[in-house]
Amino acid sequence: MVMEAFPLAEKYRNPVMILGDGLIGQMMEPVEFPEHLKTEPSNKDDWATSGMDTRKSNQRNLVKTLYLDPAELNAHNLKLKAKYEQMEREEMRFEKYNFGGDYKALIVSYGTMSRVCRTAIDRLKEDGLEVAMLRPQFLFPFPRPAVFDAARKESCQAVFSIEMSMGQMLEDVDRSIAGKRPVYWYGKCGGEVPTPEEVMDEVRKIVK
Amino acid sequence: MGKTFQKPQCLADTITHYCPGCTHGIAHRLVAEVIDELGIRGRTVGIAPVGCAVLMYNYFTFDFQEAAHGRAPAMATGIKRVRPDLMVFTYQGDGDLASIGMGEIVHAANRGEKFTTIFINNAVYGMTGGQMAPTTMPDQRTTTSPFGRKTVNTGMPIKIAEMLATLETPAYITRQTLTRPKYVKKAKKAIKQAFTYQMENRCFSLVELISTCPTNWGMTPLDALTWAEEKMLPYFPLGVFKTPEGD
Ligand SMILES: Cc1ncc(C[n+]2csc(CCOP(=O)(O)OP(=O)(O)O)c2C)c(N)n1
Ligand code: SF4
Repeated sequence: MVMEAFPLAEKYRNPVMILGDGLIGQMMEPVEFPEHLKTEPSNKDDWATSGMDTRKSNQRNLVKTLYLDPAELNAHNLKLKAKYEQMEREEMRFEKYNFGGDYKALIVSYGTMSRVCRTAIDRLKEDGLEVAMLRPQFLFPFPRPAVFDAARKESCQAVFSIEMSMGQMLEDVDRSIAGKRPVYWYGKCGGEVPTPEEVMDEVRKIVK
Repeated sequence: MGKTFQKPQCLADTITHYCPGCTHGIAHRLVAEVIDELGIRGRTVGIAPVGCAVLMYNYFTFDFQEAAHGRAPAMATGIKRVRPDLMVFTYQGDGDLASIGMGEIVHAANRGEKFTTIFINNAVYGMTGGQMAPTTMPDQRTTTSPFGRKTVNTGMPIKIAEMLATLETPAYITRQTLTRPKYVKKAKKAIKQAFTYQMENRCFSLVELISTCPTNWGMTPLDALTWAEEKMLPYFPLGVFKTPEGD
């Protein structure tokens, strides 16, 4: 993801924030690096301050955010809005888990927590309870249409936002589902990681 | 007769927003002349501060970026490290550099980042209405020290050039002023020296310029020049405080 962040930042000329957590920060796992890490944005000449000598045109480039004229600033904000909308069209990223059958519940979970949920889903399956998970890989743009579609499946009775936070994602999940299904939250903070059993209990409390 | 005087190519043909008698204009011109003379306009990137000079990119004719308040040295570090062939400079006021941006400049200088800083010390926050800066003189009246700066609870003005010169990392650190033509000439030499060190990839360089803010000082431009000489120069002495080894 870190490697994807750079081309995205250049494509949109927008900072990309990589969210981690304490566990990811302290974890060691093998990583494979692709051959070519370097990417050059195609339209760099239009904006990059790489020195006028590097450009064929006589244009000088300026990177700034200050617009003192309200009309100019409004136009700039519209430009930014269009950019965020383009991100929503082109950059939603998520993974589906156990979507095959007639799942009774949908878990939305990301990062370390989603691995725990995966184990919980596998065990619930052994007990005969089908639960699906949608794992957002990008929290912005949030995969709202995918969460909406997944939650609306006939068999799905409830949606769970399971997080290692006090519900920072809950609003996104809620907004995605727009009242079509009840949404529940479960989570822990401060370095405590909910166990698969806790996740299973939360689901069983609501879904029979 | 040939042309004896003309606008530097680096300066745009436009009117600036600076107040009458403000020394920002002189400092701009010196930087522009130096870049012209060194022939580096096509590979120079300036970093504008937050402060009266925030719009300086409108007056120069080469690549520019605008930094968040005090963060110009961080931006310059990034640009210079990615593209060491570029000539990178920051231009910062005392509110920007010596207050909110103090941490940035100290660490950039200490890391020996090979860019140049032009530091405008006019003893106040100009743009926001003449508030007290870390460089405000003892007993100097400002909008936030209406009875004069009390050093008992605000300390003494910070001498940036001397302070940065204590760092072990090689650097070129000098203080100049713009109050008289003879000083302006010296200031230009210092700016040229600073850029030359950068061209030679030698060291970080900073030129502090004792400047005036007639508007917020509540003085005529001439009185402001006199005040700078009489009140500021004894406390902020001119001179070269550090050169890279071998000079
Ligand atoms: C993060 C942030 N804090 C505060 C401000 C408000 N601000 C704008 S200019 C300025 C002071 C600039 O003073 P100085 O660097 O001395 O430059 P001068 O205007 O005197 O040239 C301040 C505090 C800001 N723009 N951003
Ligand atoms: S407020 Fe002061 S520093 Fe700013 S332009 Fe006017 S005189 Fe110059």
